[in-house]
Amino acid sequence: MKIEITKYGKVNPKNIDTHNLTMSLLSEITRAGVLSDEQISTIQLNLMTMLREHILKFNKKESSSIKKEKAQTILESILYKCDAYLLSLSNIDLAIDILCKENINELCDKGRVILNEYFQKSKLLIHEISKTRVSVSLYSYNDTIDSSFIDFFNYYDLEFDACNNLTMIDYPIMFDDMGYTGVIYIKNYLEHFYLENKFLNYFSSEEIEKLIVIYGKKYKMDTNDVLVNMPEIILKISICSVLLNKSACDFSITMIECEFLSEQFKKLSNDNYNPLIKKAFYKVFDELGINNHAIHYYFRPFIDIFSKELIKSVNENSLSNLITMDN
Amino acid sequence: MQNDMSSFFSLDVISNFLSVEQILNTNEKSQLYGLKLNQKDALELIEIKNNSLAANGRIEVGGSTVENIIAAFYDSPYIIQGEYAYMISELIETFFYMKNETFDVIPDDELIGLMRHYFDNNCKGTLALLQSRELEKLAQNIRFGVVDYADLDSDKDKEEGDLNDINSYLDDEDVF
Repeated sequence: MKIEITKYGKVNPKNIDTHNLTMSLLSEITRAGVLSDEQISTIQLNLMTMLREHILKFNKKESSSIKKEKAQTILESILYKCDAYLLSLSNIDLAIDILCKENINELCDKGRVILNEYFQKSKLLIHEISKTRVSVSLYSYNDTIDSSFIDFFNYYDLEFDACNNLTMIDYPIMFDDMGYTGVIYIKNYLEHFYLENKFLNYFSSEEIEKLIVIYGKKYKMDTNDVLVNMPEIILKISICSVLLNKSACDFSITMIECEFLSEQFKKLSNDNYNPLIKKAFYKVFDELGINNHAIHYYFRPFIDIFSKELIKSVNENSLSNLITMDN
Repeated sequence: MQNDMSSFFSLDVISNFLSVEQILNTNEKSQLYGLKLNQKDALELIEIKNNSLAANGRIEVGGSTVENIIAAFYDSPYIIQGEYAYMISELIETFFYMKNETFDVIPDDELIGLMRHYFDNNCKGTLALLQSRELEKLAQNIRFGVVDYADLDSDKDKEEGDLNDINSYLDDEDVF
């Protein structure tokens, strides 16, 4: 969804939070005077009616009162479904149009359909992730695939506790937007995990395992307990290998090569890092024959991140700490 | 999420509105038992309900708890006109407290029914016994996962059973 706003000039995009879209939009368009007092009252009344119905449904009509915390969770679950629908729209202007015109009940129903699809998609994704896993001893990676999502798939409650994803995930993926919650977070996490697995499949498991062992030794950690993102350490060393005119799959950078690379980097102005890393990044992908646009698109932000890290480490003479190499 | 939400929508607006008339309407039936609430009583009961909900961190959305409590208790032989409003106010506070203490496991109607049952039978109309003994035991049964949680005599039976066992043992055996 694009955050730019063209139709509603008084609405400030900075006040819109995509992780809490419905409520932040309602607050902002109320502040900006987009909604009339009558529209505000109607939306509040609809929300109140919906919340009452949901609470009675939760209580199975056996109890007329409820703990405030639970009511809050139920309200957040209603808004979460609305968020899912509004997030599926192409831009904020359209989301505002719909908030002004449609009943919050309808938004919630449409969001429910989308979130149910996300849930099914997540099931497929974990299956695909399991099929494409690389054979490494990294506990966090294996445990995340095998165990982390069991409770989510068995007990996730879209109606009354939609923001709770019931998972304890150890394996860090490269790009993880933790602002999202519930099934949206899980779907995003698994999509990214799957793309990372596809990337890892271009390398040999043995070579990845060796890299993890070196990483563990470097930080004096048991290999099994290492909490590291595998594509990150691979990309860093692959890019450096390519810059040394070696193969992208050659993870054996020596200290002399590292010092040579550091000296070469010192000759660069800060502005020149990014184009150089970008070139090396594409060379890595070309050499590996990665044509999948989704994988390209996913890893592309790494160019900026790594360029900044490189500038810092070269300035601090610590390039050998940035890349995983056997000293 | 809370900050954005509170500026546009507050959970506090959702609680049921209870009117003085609704409470006074209950007089129609309670008068048959010599019990009646006046306008001042009704206003105080509304305030007590709202305060009890707030004190117990609850909101009310469905039917009226106050009316249900009145309906369940006005024919109790242990309530007299002089204590009627006070008794109802105490029962309202006790009810919302017990909803939390019993983790919302017991439906409203059942909890009110149990309160009435214990009040008349186990406590002979003594409110303090209902609150500090019977309902505490009920909450304890819920916490310990007792299936027949409403049966507060189970321990008493067990104790009496143990005593009977000892007596029969003493009768049967020449222990000394």
